[in-house]
Amino acid sequence: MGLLTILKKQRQKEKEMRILILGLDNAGKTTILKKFNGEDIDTISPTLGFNIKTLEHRGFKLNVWDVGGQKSLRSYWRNYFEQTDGLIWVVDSADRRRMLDCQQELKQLLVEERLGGATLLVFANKQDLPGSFKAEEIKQILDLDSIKTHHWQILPCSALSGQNLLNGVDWLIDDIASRVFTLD
Amino acid sequence: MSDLDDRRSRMLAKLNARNQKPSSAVDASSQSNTPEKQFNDLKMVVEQALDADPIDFQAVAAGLERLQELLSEQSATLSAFDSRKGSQALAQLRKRVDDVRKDVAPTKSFAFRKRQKQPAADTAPNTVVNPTQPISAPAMNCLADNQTGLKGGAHLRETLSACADKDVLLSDLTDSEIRLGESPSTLHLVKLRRCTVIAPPVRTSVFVDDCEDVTLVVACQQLRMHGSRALDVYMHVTSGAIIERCRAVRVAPYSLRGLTADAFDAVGLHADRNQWDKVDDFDWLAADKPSPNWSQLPIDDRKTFSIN
Repeated sequence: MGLLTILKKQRQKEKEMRILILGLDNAGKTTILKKFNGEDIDTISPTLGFNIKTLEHRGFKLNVWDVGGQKSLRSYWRNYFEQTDGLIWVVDSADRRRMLDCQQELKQLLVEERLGGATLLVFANKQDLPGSFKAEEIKQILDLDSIKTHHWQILPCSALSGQNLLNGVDWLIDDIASRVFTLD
Repeated sequence: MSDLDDRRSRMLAKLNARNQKPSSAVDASSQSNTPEKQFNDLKMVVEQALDADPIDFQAVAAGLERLQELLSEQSATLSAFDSRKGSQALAQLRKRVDDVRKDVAPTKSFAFRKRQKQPAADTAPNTVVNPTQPISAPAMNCLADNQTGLKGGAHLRETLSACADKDVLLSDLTDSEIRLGESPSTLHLVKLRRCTVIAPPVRTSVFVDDCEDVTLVVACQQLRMHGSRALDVYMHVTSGAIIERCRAVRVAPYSLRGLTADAFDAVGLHADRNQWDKVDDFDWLAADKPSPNWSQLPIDDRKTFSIN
């Protein structure tokens, strides 16, 4: 039995996953996290630092890290890369002005070695706003089709209404589980 | 044979002396209480060792190492600001040590020195892609159906109409006074100079980017100001405003004469929750001292505005 097998068995027993939520400021990372967790989303302020939540979902224990997206905080993102199973990249679909910033930041993340094993879920958030980009358009702008290093998926969602949040997280869990907990 | 033993024991004595000298100096100082004091004491030990003649590089190296350890130990409890401050101080000290070492004839006999070159955590490479570099992408520049606004202009006195629930962008304006006739969904202000912008309650967020000498009268859920200076902001913000790379921001509560009573309700804002006096500065993470980048506008200096 190799070391990898032992490690896998260990994690399988705990059924624990580490999920990192990143994206530009005002993308809706904290709102997604709180909405998913059934909390009040009316009073969310821009995140100065980070939020951590441990959620139980479908028998899995999800350690979710939501790190602030302001420019001055982005250099700290790398401190959270270690051991990440899933990366949720949140896009403000209505923020046309900064869509290129968004693309650049995501590309920088994907070359990170420490995120190498992570599954990528892109949430095209704020679909409730009129004039927001469709998920298909965002897929093209972010050039997702060129990603060969990660399993990825893009879904339109609205943190405000909760649309598609569950579907997205379910897909993420399934994909991680199929990679990490494949021993059954 | 006895010669060899003799040399061996002398060498051992020398090595012991080496090991003890720095560690005793360090241990004595690490007894003290706060991490900050420990840090400063250690820093002083290193600086003293640097000033000594001849320079005690062993003590310097041990001191630097202990400083790095202290920083990593405390990183969990320190605020991000303090820990960044610490690693900056350490990086500076390292640089000084390197400079001094270059001046003094380099003694290359001790192989572990390389360790001191490890960079401070903050200086990790980040230069592969420059995210601020503008790349032409026509798709992004064209306005979508729900976007409207004003771009370029000087000495304008305008009231923007047909902007209800739209994404409004005002950019590259100087010496102008712009009013919004209706409640937009989002409001972006980019590159304004000496302008006044007056708006009824905005449904979601207001962004201010690269503005100078601007007076802003807004109500919104979130207000984000980046890279701007000399802003007077009369605001009603339900979930807190933030500034980043901003200076001389003054804040006051929103007051707009002629606003109908249901203007807040119409866009889903809480009329009774206003956090105008709570601004988070992302460049100022020390919780114990207020940020020097923003202040409250003195009551006597506050102006009044009306909707028309």
